[in-house]
Amino acid sequence: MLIGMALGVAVVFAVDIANESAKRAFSLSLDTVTGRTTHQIVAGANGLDETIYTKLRTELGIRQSAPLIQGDVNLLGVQTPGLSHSSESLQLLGVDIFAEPMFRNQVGRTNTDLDSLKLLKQGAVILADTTAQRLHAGIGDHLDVIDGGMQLELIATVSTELQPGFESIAMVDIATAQELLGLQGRLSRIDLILPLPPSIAENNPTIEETIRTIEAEFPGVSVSDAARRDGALSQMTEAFHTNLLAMSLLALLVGAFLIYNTVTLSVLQRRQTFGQLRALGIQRQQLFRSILTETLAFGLIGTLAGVLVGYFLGSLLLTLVTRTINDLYFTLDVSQVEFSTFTLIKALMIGLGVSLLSAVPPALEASNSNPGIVLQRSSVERRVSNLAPIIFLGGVLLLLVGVAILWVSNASLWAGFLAIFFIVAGYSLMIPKLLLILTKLADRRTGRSSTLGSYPVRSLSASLSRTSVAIAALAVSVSATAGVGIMIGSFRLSVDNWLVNTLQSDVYIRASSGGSIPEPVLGQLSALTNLSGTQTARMTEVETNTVPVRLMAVGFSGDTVASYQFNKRSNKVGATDQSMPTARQRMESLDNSDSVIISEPFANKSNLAVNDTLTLLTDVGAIRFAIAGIFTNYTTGKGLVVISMNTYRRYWQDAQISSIGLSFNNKDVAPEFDAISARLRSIVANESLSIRSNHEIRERSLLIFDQTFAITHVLRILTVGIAFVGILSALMALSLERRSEYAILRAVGLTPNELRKLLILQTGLMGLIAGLLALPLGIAMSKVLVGVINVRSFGWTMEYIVPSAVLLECLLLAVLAAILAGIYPAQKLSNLSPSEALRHQ
Amino acid sequence: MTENYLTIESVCKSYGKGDAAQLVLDNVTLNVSEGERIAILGPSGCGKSTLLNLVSGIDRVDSGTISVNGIDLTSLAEKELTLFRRENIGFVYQSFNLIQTLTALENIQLPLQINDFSAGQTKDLSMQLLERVGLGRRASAFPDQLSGGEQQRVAIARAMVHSPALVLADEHTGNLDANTGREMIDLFNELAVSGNQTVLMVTHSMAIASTADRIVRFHQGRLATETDPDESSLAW
Repeated sequence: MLIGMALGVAVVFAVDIANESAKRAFSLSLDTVTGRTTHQIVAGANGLDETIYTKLRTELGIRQSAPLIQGDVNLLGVQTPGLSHSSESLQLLGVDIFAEPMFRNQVGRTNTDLDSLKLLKQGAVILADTTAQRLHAGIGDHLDVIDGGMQLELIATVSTELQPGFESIAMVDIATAQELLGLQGRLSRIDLILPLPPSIAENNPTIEETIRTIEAEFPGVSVSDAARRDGALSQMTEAFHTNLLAMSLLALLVGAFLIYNTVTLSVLQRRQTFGQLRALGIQRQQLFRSILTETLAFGLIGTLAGVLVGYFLGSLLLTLVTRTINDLYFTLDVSQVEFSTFTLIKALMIGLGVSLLSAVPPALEASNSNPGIVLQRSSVERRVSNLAPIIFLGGVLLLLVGVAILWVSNASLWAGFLAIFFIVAGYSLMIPKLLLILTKLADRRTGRSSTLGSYPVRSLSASLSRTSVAIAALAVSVSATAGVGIMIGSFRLSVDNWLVNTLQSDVYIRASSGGSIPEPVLGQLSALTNLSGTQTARMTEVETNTVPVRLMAVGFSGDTVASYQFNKRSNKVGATDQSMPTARQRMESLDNSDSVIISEPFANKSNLAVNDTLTLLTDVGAIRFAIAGIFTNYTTGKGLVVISMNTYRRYWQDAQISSIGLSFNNKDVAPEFDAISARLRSIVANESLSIRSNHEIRERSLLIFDQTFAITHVLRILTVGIAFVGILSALMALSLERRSEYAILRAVGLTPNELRKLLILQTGLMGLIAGLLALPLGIAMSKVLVGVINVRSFGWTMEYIVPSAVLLECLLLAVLAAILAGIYPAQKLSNLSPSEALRHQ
Repeated sequence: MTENYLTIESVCKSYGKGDAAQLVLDNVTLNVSEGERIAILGPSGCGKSTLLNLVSGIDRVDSGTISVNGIDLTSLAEKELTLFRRENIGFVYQSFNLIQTLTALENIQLPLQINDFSAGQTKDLSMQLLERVGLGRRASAFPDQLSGGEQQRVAIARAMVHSPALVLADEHTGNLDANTGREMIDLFNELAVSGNQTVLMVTHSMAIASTADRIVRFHQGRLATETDPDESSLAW
């Protein structure tokens, strides 16, 4: 009983704390970067000219301001004998040490008495103490920047106890950051604290007046609310956390089945005692109360144990959650497991609440029957069997409610999950009747040939109150496995197709984060023999009138084809396939007009469609671009906007190239990639550029895809694990109830081995039925996940395929889980002494 | 009758351990000829049922030996003992002990299937016996749809359907009214005699015991006296 409760609570608590810790770390990381900043001055893709900062302080007298450079950096750890060569992806924060104390006082929180001026030294870096430990770096050690061509010297560490959220950050002086990211003379943004103090500002201007003054003084810049920007960033991961929470609630549902079964088992074990107590005159209410009180006491112990197990499980899950956030969204490093009192209370309430609710039916069963009947299990089973059609109808009703919610709710993610809950709950209620139908069908087949074959089949329907709950628990968990499996399979196929279509060039050369490919290199590359076409791209980040987006300017030459899959569904114009322009036509039309194409998730999130307009902050001010198309895109994080290189250069004073794709006449470059790579390396020597074939990028992308879903696999395994314990407890209950029957079979002449086989056959049958019942629910779940949840969570639409291998795998999983769960009770029962069992009858 | 079809030699059996150990059978010795019907009489708790359990092989002796048709049951391993039991022993219980999820006919078929009778034989033999016990029309009824008397008829049919050489009956009329009990004894004896089966039956009833060939009395785990049924009926 305790194990059952503990497991159910542990999974929910673990997911909760992993989610909470990651969210808190993210929030702290934002606080660390934002500090006391209230507003931020931002500009177009190239950031701000650093002279704006000087003018801001000297001419406008706005001294509560700090320049900042932000980007990503990969640091290679110090090589230590016996230890692996570690590396860390961190947010690079380039700060002005003189302006910083007003905004972020990390320098004042270092572990050593740091002379803050030391940070001014080129290449000096401050890291969190925990990050430094992971990189095996001590003060004075030098760390290589991967793809950055320089080294950073660790001059101090910041205690994460004093400054939580610093774990994801590498703090350097602004000049170091400019050199590292190739942003000489530029700033990512300028932080402000508004309103200005009355003593400093003349006439006490309001925040709005200050913003207007800045925007008027510096054309092309905009002042945005820091909290709103942080909120937009937090929202990016919200859907991911919601999905995890939903998985944990599914585990709770299966956990509730488990707790119900374990509580029932504990009551069942003492049916005789309860019957005797009733016969001796104990009143119904007294018996009912004492069973509930006892359950509450056990529930408390089980829940506390669950919280403890959940804490450790949560630490493991946190690693997976953080890795997924890093892969999908932004650099986040978190090692501290944290939870709030609310989370703890929630876990306790769930454990105790579900235990109490689960105890009510068996407690009523034991206390409401008359003393003679308490000892007769068959009376209860007959009642359950009679109720099965009514419960079935109730289930159908809940299922219809779920479908109706899907029908009426437009974009709400929670409504999607609520619908899934109703569908799962409704289907679970249909299981007792479905079980009766299936066992009847099975009995017709087995009964014809053998009485012994009928016995395990009929035992399932004869103990409906036990078997249907266990089968429902297993069916729900296996259906979740099937549903998520189909969703992942569909998603992977869609991503793979998308990668094949998107990666049209054979080899890609990319500058390190924020950097660019030097002009001479471009010239040399275009002179390569065998080259059939090139695709150039400039990737930057720009402001829209709402949130920052990634802007990709693309240019083509030669045979390179435009590689975007346009989404027909998202188009407001009801054009047919035939009349729709081709991808190339669309890309060419971008050159001739102020139009862009946008990624599908961004379109869905921002409710944008073809022919709508999107305002982008260019170097010549805010410009409205027409949306010419919406393309499939499975990247996460900020929205992606694609513009033609010509249009880009008309509005942004930026001639740099971030990456270049090369297409060769010989299409299969894989075998020759090493030779091509070596040739390219000789061309781009001394530049920090990465060279990758499209095969390599595709493989790496799919690897990240698989890593992203690792957490889902873990949760699925946990859910099946809970169902496994559920089946085990149901079988233990059955073995108690049917002990005398097994003793009769032994007395009639069944050997222990034959009885064991019979019992395994029975549990295998339970698994098979659970597996068969799980398939329709799993397919329905996958339909909702692919068609509703993914669209509402991430804005992704995808192809839908049902791989028969996933279905077969789920059937096998159900049968295997049930058979494994049956081994212990079967072993125990086969060793039972028939005389003893019959004597106690 | 052949001499000593069933030999019980100095059998002791106790339950519990240490100070709580309770000696249930104390040095019991009994010989039963083939086809002989023995009634065991005695007060509750004197070890009658335990003796039947030991003879059927569903329990083990602490000491002594039990041989059936020359085979020493006490020396057999669990599997061998079960195989011997399924073929040679039929058992009728006071509380019928029918499998609730199987019909009357299926309950009777059970020993035949366990003994690997063919499907045709199983069907014919079980139906024949069901007809003999007067339940031909109740073949598809489940135990909870049958009266106590009907259930015991099914139990007797199940115990005898595979023609075991030794039939054990443990107060098999204990849960029935006097009339039904009498009917049951007549049926039981008729089947046993016609099959030349050796019978060991435990009862409290002198009337039932008097239908046996020989009566043995148990007292505090010991075999007290052996009497002829005619003498016993006079004594009672």
